[in-house]
Amino acid sequence: MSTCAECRSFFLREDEPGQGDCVRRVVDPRQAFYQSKPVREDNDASGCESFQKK
Amino acid sequence: MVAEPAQDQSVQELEDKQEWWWVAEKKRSKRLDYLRKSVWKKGALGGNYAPGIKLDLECATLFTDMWKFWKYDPIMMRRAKAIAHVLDNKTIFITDHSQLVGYFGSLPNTIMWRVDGASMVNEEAYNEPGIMPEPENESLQKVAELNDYWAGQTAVDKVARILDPEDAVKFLSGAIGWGAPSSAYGYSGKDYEYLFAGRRGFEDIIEEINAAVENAEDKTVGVPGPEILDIYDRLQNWDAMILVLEAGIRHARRYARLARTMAENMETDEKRREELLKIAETCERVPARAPRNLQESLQYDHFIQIFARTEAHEGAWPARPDYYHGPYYDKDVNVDKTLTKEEALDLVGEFMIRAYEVGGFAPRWAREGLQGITGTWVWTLGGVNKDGSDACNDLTVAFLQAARLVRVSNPTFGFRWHPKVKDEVLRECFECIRHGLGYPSMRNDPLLIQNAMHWHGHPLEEARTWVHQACMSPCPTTKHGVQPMRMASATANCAKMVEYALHNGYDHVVGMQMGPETGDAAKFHDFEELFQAWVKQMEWLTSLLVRTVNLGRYKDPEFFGRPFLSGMSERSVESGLDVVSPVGDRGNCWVTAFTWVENIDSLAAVKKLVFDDKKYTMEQLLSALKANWDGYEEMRLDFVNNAPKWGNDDDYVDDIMLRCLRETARHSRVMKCPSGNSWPILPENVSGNIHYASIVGALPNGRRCGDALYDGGISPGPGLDKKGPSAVLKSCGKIDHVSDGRAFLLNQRLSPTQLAGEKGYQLWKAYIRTWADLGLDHVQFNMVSDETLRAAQKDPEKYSEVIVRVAGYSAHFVDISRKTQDNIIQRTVQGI
Amino acid sequence: MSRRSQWKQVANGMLGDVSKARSVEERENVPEKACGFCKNFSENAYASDGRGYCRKLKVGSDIKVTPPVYVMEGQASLTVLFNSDGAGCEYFNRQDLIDTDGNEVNDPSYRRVQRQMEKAIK
Repeated sequence: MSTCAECRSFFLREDEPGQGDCVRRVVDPRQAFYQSKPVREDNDASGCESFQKK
Repeated sequence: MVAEPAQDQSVQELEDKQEWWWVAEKKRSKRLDYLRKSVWKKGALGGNYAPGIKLDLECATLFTDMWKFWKYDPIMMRRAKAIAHVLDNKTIFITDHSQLVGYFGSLPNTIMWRVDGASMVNEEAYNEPGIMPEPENESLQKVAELNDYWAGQTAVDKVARILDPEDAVKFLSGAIGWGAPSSAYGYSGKDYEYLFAGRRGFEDIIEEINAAVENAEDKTVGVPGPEILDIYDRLQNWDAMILVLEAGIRHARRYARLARTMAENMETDEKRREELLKIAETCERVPARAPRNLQESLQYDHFIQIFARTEAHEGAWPARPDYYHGPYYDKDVNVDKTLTKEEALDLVGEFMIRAYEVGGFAPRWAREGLQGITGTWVWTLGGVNKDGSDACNDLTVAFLQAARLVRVSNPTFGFRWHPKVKDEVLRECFECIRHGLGYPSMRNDPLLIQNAMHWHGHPLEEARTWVHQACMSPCPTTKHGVQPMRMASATANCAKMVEYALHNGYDHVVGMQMGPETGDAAKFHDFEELFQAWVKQMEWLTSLLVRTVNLGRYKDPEFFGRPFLSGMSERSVESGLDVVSPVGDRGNCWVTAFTWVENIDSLAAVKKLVFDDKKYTMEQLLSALKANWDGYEEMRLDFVNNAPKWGNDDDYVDDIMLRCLRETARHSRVMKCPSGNSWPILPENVSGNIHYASIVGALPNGRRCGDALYDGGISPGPGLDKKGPSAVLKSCGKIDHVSDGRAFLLNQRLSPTQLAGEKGYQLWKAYIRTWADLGLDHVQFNMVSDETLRAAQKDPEKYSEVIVRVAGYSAHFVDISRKTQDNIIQRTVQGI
Repeated sequence: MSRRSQWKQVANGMLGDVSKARSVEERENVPEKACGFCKNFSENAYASDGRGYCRKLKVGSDIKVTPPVYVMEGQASLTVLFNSDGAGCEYFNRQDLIDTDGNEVNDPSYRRVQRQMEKAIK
């Protein structure tokens, strides 16, 4: 099973063990941006379409 | 005149052609150009959302999950926990080139859904075309589940259940008014004096709350007695405030972390990396602590607005940005010179863009009534300081200049004019108007300060802090002066007053006995009988709407609860009461009077043609009205062309206006708000004149059911003010703008050709002087030619950036319905 | 009966049936003779959740039962939804809709803005 911690988009939070942010670049029809969503490092990432192994 | 892309033309050429939208594109920085074009427009096109706009299911789901989980908590605490959960877990984003961050949805193209506000709005979201995120079937299933959970327990459901059933039926008929009697929707005032003048960050507020809690806790373990019983509730409220303020600090730090992650791991451009680190530093500072510079101050303000909108669907954006952020501009640009004027202009322009992109799911009546925009974000500029001196500063000018560069239709500005305003500032106002923005609206500051003292008893210094609470109504920004929540359901479709007076209170459009039975108008012998029937209908209609708001306001802390907004209020921080509680609020209510002038022109027409000239009988008139004038065209034209019309300096009809206003002002003092203060009326329309077009029946001014109503306030009917701008001003000047009502909207169209160049400015300045001398409180201008507007109707893509003043707000011309467009073109262009 | 009780009945007639929880299927279903297709349907100007008034029938009417109950006199009009089934109603009178996407703000009588209506017409 792949976990979020193994993904290039995962950034561990220094002050919260086990907790991190999934940070991804998105380009929509009007603008480009980076988005961030909280995830845990041990989250199952096997179903994630955006998963990219580090 | 054909608008062509600007690339091959110089700024001068474009200015000569008055194609200001291309001028803006040429003049603004690359950053502002990118950010302005990157916005997903959330304002409805006519009544529907634009392609690509999607309902935000992430926030609605996060909120509901936590709301269900904490089901035994008191409502304020329960809401605080649900909001904190949203702020901690929703998706956030930082747009390329931006320096300010924060959006209340989860993605740039989403509209926030206030899922706990009203179940009928929830069902509307389910039915709405085009807004379900893909895959649609899954989204529909999710929305249906959320709707079923919230059915019956939303804020409006709770109020509707306890309203008098007759009031509920009539209010919900949609015929006489709109708005929701709940702080789930509405216009929240902010205690800016506490926050910005007091230089407080959230940590400072939490410290003050902790001190209040400590003091109160001592009492709960002290001598038993009735006086300590309400402290238990207050302690819960204080805890809820702290909880949500801490969540706000954490949320900002999520942005700081994202900006740092981007700077350290993704960004290759050195300059952008520095900007991202500056964003990180800013979001680590605010809202936790008070701002130190312009970027922090603007970012702090924006966070406050976003958090308040995470808590409730706010339909307005009361603000006075030049006054409260001005000291930071001065420090950065003039004293420390850490920012150039151009850099500051970029920040100010982006600050406006960040507000422009904000939009939540709004019910259809709100979308149709505010076509093209997402709420009335009328920011206040200019005015006076508390000591009466001129408050305009360099940031006032920067906002007016930035507005011409970013050309957003929301926010707009209302400018507090007073005799001490410097010429250089007035010129900037005029340039915005000349560029066709339709704003700033001009507000007569000395008169409105007097008005605030007259109606609501605000002390002078308090009154001088006023901001537009919605489109028009002044509200102070102080501890006791700020009205925390204006619930929009005291918005009256006033044309119904004369309609009901003519039909014995019966509404032929919705098929219901609405108003009191004031007698068969066919049997009225003189104008006085009709007028007295009108007075009774006016009293009934305004009283019904005010009852719903008063009840909504009184019950709101029990039915909804505003922990974040409470934390922004000195009164609540001190007392532990929900900010919407009327306790300690001086009271600053008003009845928004839509479709007002139809009453005046209709009454005048009946007086003249039926009772004075005896050209027609009441039976004939009522038959014509019941037939919607079908088969009575000659007679209808007589009522249009040969009856006196408001706005022509004709005492015959102007006296009727004064009688109507004074009867209403008398009744305004009879009706009381929960704080015991009066309910003056405020005639204005937004685009309610189109929304209500098919709901108001035929009227004696010659209008048929379905025709657009007048554009509102005390503006004369479009094309009916035939005697020039001075006559309009003189008619309006007969009204006492202090004691006859809270404020009076006046739309005027001016000729861009006549007002070109320096001569144009001098003419306009002289007009404003006359306007002020005659004692009017408001005027706003459209200065776009018929030619341009007609060309925009034919070729909307080429003119997508043309802006017009609708009524109380501006919109991009291509975003409003054809009917509203025609109504604007129909307005008389006044030569001055 | 007191004034309040009388109006409570009217309020229940207007509001009761349309506020209850419904399945996705119920929400999506647009019958062949849905009230929304009828000339007598007048969309409510306050709530665009699909409720509207029948211009013919008053509160107390019931078009779901057989035979239908028609009340022609009363204080308030019968509230129905755009997708209430009007098959059994003798006053059903089909009209052509001229604005089914609601972009043009116009007389609600001539438009139906609900997504389901758009789908049903296409």
